[in-house]
Amino acid sequence: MMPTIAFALLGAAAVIQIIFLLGKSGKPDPLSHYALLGGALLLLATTVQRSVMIDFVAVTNTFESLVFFSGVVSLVLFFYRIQKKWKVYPFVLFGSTIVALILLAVASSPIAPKDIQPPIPALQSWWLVLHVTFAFIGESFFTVAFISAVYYLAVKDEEKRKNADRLIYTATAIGFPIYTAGALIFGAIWAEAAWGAFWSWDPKEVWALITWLTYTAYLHLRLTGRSRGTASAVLQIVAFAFTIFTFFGVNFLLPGLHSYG
Amino acid sequence: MVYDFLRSIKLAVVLILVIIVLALFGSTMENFFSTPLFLFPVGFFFLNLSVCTFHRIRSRIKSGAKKRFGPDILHIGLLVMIIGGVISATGRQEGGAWLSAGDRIDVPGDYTLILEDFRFLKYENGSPRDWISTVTVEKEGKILFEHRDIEVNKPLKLGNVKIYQASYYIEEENSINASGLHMVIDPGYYPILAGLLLLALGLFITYIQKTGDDRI
Repeated sequence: MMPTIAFALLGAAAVIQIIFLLGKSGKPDPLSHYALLGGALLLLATTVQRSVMIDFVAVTNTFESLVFFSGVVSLVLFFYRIQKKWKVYPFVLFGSTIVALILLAVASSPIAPKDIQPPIPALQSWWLVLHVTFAFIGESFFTVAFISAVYYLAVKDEEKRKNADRLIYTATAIGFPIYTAGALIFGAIWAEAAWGAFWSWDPKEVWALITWLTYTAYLHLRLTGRSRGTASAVLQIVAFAFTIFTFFGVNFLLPGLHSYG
Repeated sequence: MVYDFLRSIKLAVVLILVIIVLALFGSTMENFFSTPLFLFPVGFFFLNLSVCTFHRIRSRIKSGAKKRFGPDILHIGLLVMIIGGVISATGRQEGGAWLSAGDRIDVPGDYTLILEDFRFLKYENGSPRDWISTVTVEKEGKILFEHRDIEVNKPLKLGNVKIYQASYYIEEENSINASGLHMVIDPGYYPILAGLLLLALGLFITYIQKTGDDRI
């Protein structure tokens, strides 16, 4: 029920955003971020509700992961909209809202069973909770960086490119430590406690490493001297594609130990 | 000259991209990550990262500047992790045992593990809730402790051996109720953990120092 209302709110946000985008005033609309906040709170409330029912933090399957991820993206967008430090173009808010909507749409599809199940033994770990939550929070910032990179490549105006580049960088700079902690550090600690090894080179782990290395390459490319705006933006898009593949593609195309969410 | 080449960030970016491509290729294969094709670029990257880190720290000591040491801690953490990984790859020993209640097994370090009881707890719908091996441990023939539980995510540490609840084998018709325990000796455990902690600390410090920077 709550995810459905959240979906409607995010949809309404996207409609408001696109109306203002087509109006070409260049300013973000005054309303959609409230719908985003409402959607975020409902999605996170869904997580809380399911957590109470299973007596564990509800981030243990694909459905719960998608609900949490979509909720965090929406919340991050709300904060980007109300902050005054960085210029956030309406297109960036709109594109990221669409990502949050797609995540919810996938959550409602058959690939994400909604049954409420308490966790199997391997998942009964606080490290697991930290691993999943931090990874998705980091990836929410990567989402903003991704859409900003698309915007960067789509516009020609120097001022817009400069602001887009700044947004890509700052969003990545925030998301990267959080993602590193979640995906790699907490993930490795959890793996050792559950299965006896910090790292097993299984497909999910390898793809998480590929994703992490791509963001690492992005951050270091900036330090090599000349402005490399286009290469950076392309790298961001590739990195986000890897992020999504790590989440979904691996589970369904490359079976292994990691088939949970 | 060689030093300038080895410490360059451009080289780092190239090596990272090479490793990405190799990992993409290797993600579909078994055992790729222990082959020379992968290990050589990683080794080269280790060298590049070492020289770069050394250079950064030395430059900072020479110029007397104090700021921005977060990345250095982070990079040292990565280097320690890689070293830990090599130690683990060369020194790790693993073993497993199937134990039914009453069975005894010797564990390196003069320990003997005796299974008192193995329970398979289920949720109401039948899915697994817990596998619990309750054990007694003897050292050099004398009881060290009794009634200790080993569960998934809660391994038992005996000296430098870690014992994990890994699987089970149950055949009700034949009254077989066996616990599958997995035993590991890994000298790389502490170095890798230290590397992970340094990585976390380095990230945290970098982040704190950056948020204090008005240029962003």
